[in-house]
Amino acid sequence: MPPAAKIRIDLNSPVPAYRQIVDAVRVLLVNGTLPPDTDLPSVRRLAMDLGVHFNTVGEAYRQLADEGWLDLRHGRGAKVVARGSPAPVAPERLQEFRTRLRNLVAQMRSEGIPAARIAAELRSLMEGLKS
Amino acid sequence: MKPVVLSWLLLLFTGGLMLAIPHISPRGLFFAVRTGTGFRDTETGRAALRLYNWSVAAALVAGAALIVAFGAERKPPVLLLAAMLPEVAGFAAFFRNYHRLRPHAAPPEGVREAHLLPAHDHLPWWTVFALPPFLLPAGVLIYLHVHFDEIPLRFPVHFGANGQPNRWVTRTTVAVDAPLLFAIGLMLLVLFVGVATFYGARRSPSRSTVLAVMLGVTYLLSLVFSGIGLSPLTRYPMWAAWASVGLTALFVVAVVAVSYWRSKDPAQLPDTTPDECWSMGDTYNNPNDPALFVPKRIGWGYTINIGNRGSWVVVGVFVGGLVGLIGFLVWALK
Repeated sequence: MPPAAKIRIDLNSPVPAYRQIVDAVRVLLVNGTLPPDTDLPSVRRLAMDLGVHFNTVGEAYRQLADEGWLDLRHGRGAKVVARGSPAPVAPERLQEFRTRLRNLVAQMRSEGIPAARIAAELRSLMEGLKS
Repeated sequence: MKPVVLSWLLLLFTGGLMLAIPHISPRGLFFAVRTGTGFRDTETGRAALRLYNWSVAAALVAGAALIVAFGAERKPPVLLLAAMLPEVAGFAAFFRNYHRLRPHAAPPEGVREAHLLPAHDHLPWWTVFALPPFLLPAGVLIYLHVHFDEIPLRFPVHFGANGQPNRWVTRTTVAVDAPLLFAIGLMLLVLFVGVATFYGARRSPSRSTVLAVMLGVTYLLSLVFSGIGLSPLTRYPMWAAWASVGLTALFVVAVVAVSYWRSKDPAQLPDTTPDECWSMGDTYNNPNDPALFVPKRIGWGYTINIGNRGSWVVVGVFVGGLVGLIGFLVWALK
């Protein structure tokens, strides 16, 4: 069964709401739940459903458009676009991702999650995100 | 119908309605405070409910005593006051509980969910049933114009409680058409509010129910005003007038029943509005919330977000339209 096209944010989280929206929508884009040509709700509708300011959703959509995932049409919401192969990642960017992953893995280890479990989680996530 | 009988019926109706109110609030809300679902079974919750029930019951007894004492004297203001006592006492007890329970409010729910698909939300297919109610007054309008010469040169437009006419107007096109045009305008306003609520609230099953209730209201208006509109030709029978009142009461009871059923539905979305944006549990003011309408905390349905300018546009259109319609009716039937 395909995963539901549903996003969830936590307004009590220290992560900004727009960032959470970007992350949640990107997961759905990468795993194929939102294929190209899919219409997304308008900024107004999504802001209303999440109970956040229009600018929060607008900022999230702009960020995803900058990443090449969305085509923003004035007043008509957003459409998922077929994304060409992104340019090879620069070594600095790769290093940044590596640092973030290392920090996250360290945090998981410090909270008692065994290394094998972390590896299995990463593998499972990779399988799920194959598009 | 005698005023005393009417006041008995009204007393029982308002008493029953007030006793139902704490049970038809959305899940997790108790006397308009977000206490969580299990709170009403705690000692504090039970004590609050007891206080409320006793207040309404005492008002019912006091109202009944007033009707018995003054019923024979036919004093409508006293009888009306007696019938409304449960409502006054009920709301006083409700707001007392609201203030008492606020310290027990659960922290606001920070987790929000939203469906991305379908992207566009459309009105339910059954919204097409909003059209038939307009056909009835339109048909009556045509019928009246076909039989225009049979309408008396002066016809009654207002009736007393005893069913006897107490005001007449001269036969003119506008006077004959006025009640039906008023009804059509009113039905359009009701539908406007239903559609505005649908598009101006967060997506949830309650939106469709509210729209269905609004459609029900248009059917009721259509029936009542089509009967009234025919009165220049065929006198509006008293039984039809009372049937209209009965139908309205039945409609309210049906809405309460739906509310009760909805309040128990676990599929209902939890209330995500911040407590500090509510005054007295019934007025919501949150400029940061893009929703024009939010689920009510007292009873069931939606209320406006007074912090959102869009809500005022909707209210302005409705109130302006209503004032315009009433002005038209008064002018046409003067």
